[in-house]
Amino acid sequence: MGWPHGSCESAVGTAGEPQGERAVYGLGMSIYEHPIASLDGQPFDLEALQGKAVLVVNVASKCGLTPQYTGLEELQRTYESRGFTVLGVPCNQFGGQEPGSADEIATFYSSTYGVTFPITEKVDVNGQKRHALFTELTAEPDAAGEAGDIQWNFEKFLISPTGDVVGRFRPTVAPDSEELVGALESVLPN
Amino acid sequence: MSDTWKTVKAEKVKAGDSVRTQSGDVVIVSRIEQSFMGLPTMLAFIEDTPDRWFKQPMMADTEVEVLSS
Repeated sequence: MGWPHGSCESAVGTAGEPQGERAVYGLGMSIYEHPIASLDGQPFDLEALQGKAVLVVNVASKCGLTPQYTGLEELQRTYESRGFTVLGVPCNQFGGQEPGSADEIATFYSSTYGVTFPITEKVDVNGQKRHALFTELTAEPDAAGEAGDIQWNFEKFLISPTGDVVGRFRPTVAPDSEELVGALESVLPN
Repeated sequence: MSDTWKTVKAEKVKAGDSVRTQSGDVVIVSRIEQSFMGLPTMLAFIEDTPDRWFKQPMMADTEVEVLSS
């Protein structure tokens, strides 16, 4: 798996190395094998993300950090052609700041921020009902070496094209930060 | 004897209490995170039960209604 505890620089270095077979996590499953639906309720094909760099973000519509949608969409438009996508995952566990229906969420992010990257169904990212995808993601430590629960809306996980979790960025790390963009550019497939 | 809600500052809440926030939501406080997002004037109540995981931050000096365990 991804990165040595406690060192972002090491993490980026690891991410930039050639990757072998795709990463396989607990229970023999890769990160692409956890079923999740799109926001419209249709199955979302995580397997289709193999070979891409992916930034998974737990999003919310009524958070002080919601304007990060602008930076996330900028990343999408800048790096999509090089094999990258953002994957937004709505969650209502932080202050109840994603209370809306799927239609309301979709209307908000498309009309307010012009989001073009995929958005999944609303899920739990912490606690006993945590979605299995986030069981894998939250096992990874951040740059300070801290793994475990997601702190708040807009935490970000960078996945390499082979399925390694190679970076974890806390909510206040902006999408256009040097830390995040540097890590992202080091794992782009193209 | 019926339970009674008391108004206290958020910083006086303890794990095991139930808190009714200004929005009316009731949070069963499993644990309390101090200095939420690194801000020493803030804390966050975390409900971590089989039914729900929920995090509610607030200023430490905010008044909340509490039902003590």
